[in-house]
Amino acid sequence: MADNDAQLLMRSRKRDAQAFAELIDRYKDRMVNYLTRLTGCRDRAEDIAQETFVRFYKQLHHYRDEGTLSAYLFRIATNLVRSEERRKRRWQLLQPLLATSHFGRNGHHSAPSPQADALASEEQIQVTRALASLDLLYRAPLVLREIEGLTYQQISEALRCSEGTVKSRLHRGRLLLKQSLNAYWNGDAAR
Amino acid sequence: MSDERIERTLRELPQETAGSDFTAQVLERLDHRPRRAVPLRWAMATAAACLVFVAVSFTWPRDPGAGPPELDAQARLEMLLAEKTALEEELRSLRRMADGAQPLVYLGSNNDVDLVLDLSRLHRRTDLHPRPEKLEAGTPHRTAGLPHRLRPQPRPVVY
Repeated sequence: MADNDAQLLMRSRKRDAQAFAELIDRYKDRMVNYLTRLTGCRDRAEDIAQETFVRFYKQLHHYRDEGTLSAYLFRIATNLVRSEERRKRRWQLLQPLLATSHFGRNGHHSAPSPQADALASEEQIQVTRALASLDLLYRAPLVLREIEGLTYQQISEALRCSEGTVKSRLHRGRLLLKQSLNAYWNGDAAR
Repeated sequence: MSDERIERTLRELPQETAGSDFTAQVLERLDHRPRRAVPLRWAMATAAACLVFVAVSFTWPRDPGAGPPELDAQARLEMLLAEKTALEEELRSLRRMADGAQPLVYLGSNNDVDLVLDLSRLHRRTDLHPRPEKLEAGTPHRTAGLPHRLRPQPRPVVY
């Protein structure tokens, strides 16, 4: 698999569109899934996933075949989400000053799509919402570990931090998620 | 509530998949990527080369054997030498004028008389320059012949 990735990368560097399309096909579902969990919005996830591959294509010549390609793609995707959330926070700060309601009404943390809603159980919806409300610092490692199944080393590679930091953020993320879901799990939400 | 429940719930979340035209859309984005007419790297390299050329052309030491600069220096040297000669000639003529000049000093005039002093006839008298003298009591003062208003007034002496 890794050899194939390397070959596809080599061909992609020579502007072989077919090879790059094959690379996209290989990783697109994981990217969209990861970004959906990270952003809580399917449409936004798909848009950021596309931008992730565009950025990756631009950086093809700088990419060194160290570690896994998926970790590198997850890193680009996480950075894009981080930038977008920073931008959104800035708009939220400016919104009262601008007094125009259309700014910042992106619905970034909106509920999953109706299709997903129909398929998901009530618990899954609650978990998705709780996850989307977490700080990105904890959300990203939690999704990479629990949903994407990456190793600590791969997560540290993707998020550019030590394995110790990954473990502590995972622990803290789980705690925050538990606190967030306590009300639902204790039956308070039903009332 | 345990960590296992959270982990299990997270793992049981439905797997999202990319849309059917995902890859095509990415490739389309790549095709429609705005490209600069001149790549930035080339533009920067050209600008740097221009700057270096301008800097070198201003700071490059001029070749002393080159044509026009030598002509300038030669002309300047000749001009300076001519000026020096003219100044020396002027100085010599001034000296001649001073040597042959009549030592007359015009002192003034009224309607009838011009008062001119011929310095050549003036005998040098050393006693014309007053020497400081120690005044003693009872010594007749040199200003005795002066009108009273011009005489120095005695200062009060405080014992």
